[in-house]
Amino acid sequence: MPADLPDIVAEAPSDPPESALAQQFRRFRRNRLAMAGVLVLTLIVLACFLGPYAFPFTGADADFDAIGQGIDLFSAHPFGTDDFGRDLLVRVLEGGRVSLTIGFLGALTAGVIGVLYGAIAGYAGGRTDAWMMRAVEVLYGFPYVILVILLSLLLGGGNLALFAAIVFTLWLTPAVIVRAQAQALSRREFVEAARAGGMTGAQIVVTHIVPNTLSVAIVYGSLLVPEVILAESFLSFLGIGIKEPQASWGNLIQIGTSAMTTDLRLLLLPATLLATVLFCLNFIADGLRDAFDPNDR
Amino acid sequence: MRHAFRHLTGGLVLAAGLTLGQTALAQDTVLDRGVGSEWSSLDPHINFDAAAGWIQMDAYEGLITFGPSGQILPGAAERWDVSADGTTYTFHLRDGLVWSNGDPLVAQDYVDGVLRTLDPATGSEKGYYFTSTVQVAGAAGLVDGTTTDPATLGVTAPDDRTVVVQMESPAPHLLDLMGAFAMSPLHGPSFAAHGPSAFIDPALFVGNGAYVITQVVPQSHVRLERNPNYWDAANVAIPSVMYHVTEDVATELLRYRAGEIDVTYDIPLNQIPALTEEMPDQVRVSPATEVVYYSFNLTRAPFQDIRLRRALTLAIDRDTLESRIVRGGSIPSYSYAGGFDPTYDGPVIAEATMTQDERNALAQQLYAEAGYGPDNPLVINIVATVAEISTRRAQGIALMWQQTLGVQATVEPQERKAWLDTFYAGTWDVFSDNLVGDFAGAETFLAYMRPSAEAGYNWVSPGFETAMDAAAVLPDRPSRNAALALAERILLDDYIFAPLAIEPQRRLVNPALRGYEDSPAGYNNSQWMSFQ
Amino acid sequence: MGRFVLRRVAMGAATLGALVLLTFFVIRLAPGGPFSGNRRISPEIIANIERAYHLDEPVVMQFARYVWGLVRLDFGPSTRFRDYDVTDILATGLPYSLIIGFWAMLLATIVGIALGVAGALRRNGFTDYAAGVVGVAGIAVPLFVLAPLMQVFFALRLDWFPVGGWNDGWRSVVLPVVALALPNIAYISRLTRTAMVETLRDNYIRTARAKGIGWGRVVRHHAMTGALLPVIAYLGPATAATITGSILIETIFALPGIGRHFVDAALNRDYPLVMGITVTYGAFLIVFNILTDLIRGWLDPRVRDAG
Repeated sequence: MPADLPDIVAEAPSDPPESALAQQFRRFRRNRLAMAGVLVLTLIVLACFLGPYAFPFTGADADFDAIGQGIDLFSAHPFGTDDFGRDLLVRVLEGGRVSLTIGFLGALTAGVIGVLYGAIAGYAGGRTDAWMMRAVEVLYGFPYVILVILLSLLLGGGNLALFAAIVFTLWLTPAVIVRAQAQALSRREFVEAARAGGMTGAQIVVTHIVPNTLSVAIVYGSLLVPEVILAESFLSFLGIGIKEPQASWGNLIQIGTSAMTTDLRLLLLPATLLATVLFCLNFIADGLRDAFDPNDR
Repeated sequence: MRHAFRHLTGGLVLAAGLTLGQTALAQDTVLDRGVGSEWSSLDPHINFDAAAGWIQMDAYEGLITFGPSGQILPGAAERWDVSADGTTYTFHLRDGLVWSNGDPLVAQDYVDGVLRTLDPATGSEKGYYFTSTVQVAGAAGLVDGTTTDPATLGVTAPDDRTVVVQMESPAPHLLDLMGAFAMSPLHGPSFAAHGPSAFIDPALFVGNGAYVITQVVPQSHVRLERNPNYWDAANVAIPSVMYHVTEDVATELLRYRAGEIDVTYDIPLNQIPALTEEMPDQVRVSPATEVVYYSFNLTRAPFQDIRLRRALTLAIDRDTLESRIVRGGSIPSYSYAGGFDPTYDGPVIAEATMTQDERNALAQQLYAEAGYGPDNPLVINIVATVAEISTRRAQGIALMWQQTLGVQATVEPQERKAWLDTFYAGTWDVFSDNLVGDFAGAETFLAYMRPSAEAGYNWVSPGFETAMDAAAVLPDRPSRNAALALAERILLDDYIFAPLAIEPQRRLVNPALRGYEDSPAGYNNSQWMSFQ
Repeated sequence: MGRFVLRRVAMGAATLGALVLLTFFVIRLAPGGPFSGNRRISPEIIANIERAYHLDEPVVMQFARYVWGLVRLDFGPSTRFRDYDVTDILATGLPYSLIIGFWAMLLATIVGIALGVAGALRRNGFTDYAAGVVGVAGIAVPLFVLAPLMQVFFALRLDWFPVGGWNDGWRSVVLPVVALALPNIAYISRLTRTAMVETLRDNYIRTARAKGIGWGRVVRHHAMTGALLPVIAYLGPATAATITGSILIETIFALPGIGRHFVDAALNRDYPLVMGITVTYGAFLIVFNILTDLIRGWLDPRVRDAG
């Protein structure tokens, strides 16, 4: 495509979506770092969801005679046990199931809500934008702890309440950022042209604004996943969270931290996995951004 | 508006000053103590926090004072007489007592302190000591506003050196309440001139304790210096004491290691085994005046069967629980009120002498008799607080009940206020319960278990009430303790809760510090301490 | 511009009012109250205390009383810290939080933007990866793990800084500032880098390069403004949150700021303090949002708020 044709030509709604998608997919595959990230992440996900079946015990089986065993790669407990005699590796894997699920779902939900909200506010401008942003400010300012307590009252202390508590305020910052992007985009020529061409506001938001803000949203969203996973450990102090004996990376890392100076192993395993997931997501996000960038030729 | 501005600029100046200035770290002339979260108040008639009570015990002195290991010693009063029926205590103050500013300290100051505590306008929870823990004549009337006449109070000062406390029924534990925590005198002129600021502003502070408050930085620390006008100032060795706010127990440990703190408020739970090995003489874990037990919800069907309650009580391996799972230093216990007062020879649950295997077997039998088994397991929830020691204990007990009986118990940690609210709402099967005593004795715990005192347990026991009433009229400790033991027998035999443990105090103490001893009531006055 | 500011300030006041109204009534829905702490205290005594704090009045009356106090900047007495008014607590604690937060945000913004720009200019090169790792390391290791590690290493082992407290002059400030800056560096560097890469690909950049304008000028004059727009938007709420104190940093480093009140006041059901914190944080947030909107409008005139 010639470099200076307006983007609307590339993005015209009459283009069959398959070929553009296939092109983007191919671009992503060529990014080796991103593919490595996908591979490692898939391995971790598979390990978490399938790995525990390889063991004769679960993460909840306590063995009081085997409390606090260390790393012994060829024993029944390759990475040792925790304070209750439960196998550490199985707990970390089982914890990964819950944490990764809530992490991805939470980040995705917050991201989608934030992007849509911000895009609409930024594009609409005027009174709509003012009202929407004032609502955001009120939600920011409201004391979070009270919100969490009330959510736990309403929804019980389980996973639904946890999810709601996390997502409720998580979408606010993506909304603010995307709104800023949307404001800049709305004044660009190709959007004016689209408007002149008769597209409705909703169509413009969906086909022009959102895709152009996606790279920032995806990159920000990749940083949100570990934040969601760790938020769980903070929320457990407020009575919401993963209930024992269910493990989660949040509570495992927290327990590991308090034992940091005596038994680093309890912290190292879940924390390393979490950091690895974060780096994978980073590379994947960059790869997605490169692949889906409408400006890229 | 100007008020706020003045504070803001003052705060900025202070912060800037502390940032630019360089203060040296603690030296051997300053005793640095951790106090946990910030004191709720430095007002001696309002403060209800035990930790902030340490500041109070240093800054004020009651009629009695507590020695290094918590023993009762003469304080402002050099001796006291007790009437034959045990209801009237006459305290004789020392000669020549003065406040820190030189004003004479008179008996009426103590009476004024109590009056202020009971005054509804003060809004103090401590009136409870004078209306519930002991029944001082006239106190209840002043608290609920029936009368405002100070002359109705049973605490009087017939002359400048005599304080008379008149109670409606005998209570040998009155002496435990005559320390500075419940019985601080009131310096009339300061309070009349400045109101409550007289207690928190170092420039206005007037006290009668071994130390005076010289610096208060909210959220940071309180500094005290030796009071030259204290009657025993010659025996106060350490010139300065600093109480530091130590919210984070892990940070407090690091500060202790760095030498910034001499006596910590607590020890991180999972560091205790390692620290005990590394520095055994510095780790001080000793019983506190707090008991931990698991209450059963008597309004719910399963728990109305005493066999089930007994089964759950017995299926807990208390030794393994505290030593290997919770590892917080709690002392396993098979009774409720025993273990605080050495002169109290209290009962234990019937099965205390069995081995754990025998208890487990009996528990399984009772569980089956109550109608539960593998195809009909008991499904319950345990409501605990989010504190680490509480959730560990709950998890451990849930595991034990599951392994021994097949009970399916879920642990529901709740933040503190919600946890308390849940108790009264009755939405629990098993409640992780605890009680802090007002003094190191049995009666303070047993009195709380009266259905008339705490209806939340929904326990009906006229026998217990009668036994407690019988004990309440006895004037001396030995006979009273014997009667209380009978009452506790009735309580334990009904298995309305599973007694678990006595909670400890956990401190790290600088090995160079002398005079710090294990004190069950939790009082460690700085005046007894010295650096080697 | 002046009218814009006035309008936003008026809207800000209205937003603050809405926040106050909402918070005041909703916090009372949480179970328990300020004085529901001790099961042994008799109901008469509790009633006395509640009366002293006007908690026995109908809620609407309490609200009216509160608003009347707000107008005179009197937030009322704290129920947990009985010696102090909420105004005292905020006024004494806020300067500490402000000092730490200001330096942390400054450090995070400078380092974050630098890392982001460096990464974008040397895209997919070693600098990019290095900058990426350094940037993201700030959140790869959770703060409640990193901060104690810093304490053990820099304070305990090397003895360069104190473990905690605010008794050691500027030394007390270094570790908390760095720790608080780290997560923000991660977000700022990633946002900058992404936006910069986007902007550098933009057509008007190509045009400038085609005209022969050097990279330096291109970056400074053309690319930076586009790159910074999302970061500046992020900085609005992020700065407000950071300078009102982080509970984690202030607890771990034992600093007397107001950060802990964000959580503790609610847990203690200290209604006046919760309200005071909310008003303070809300005010900062609104002000910073207005500022960032202004800055973005100045940087990129096309963004000027039309409404």
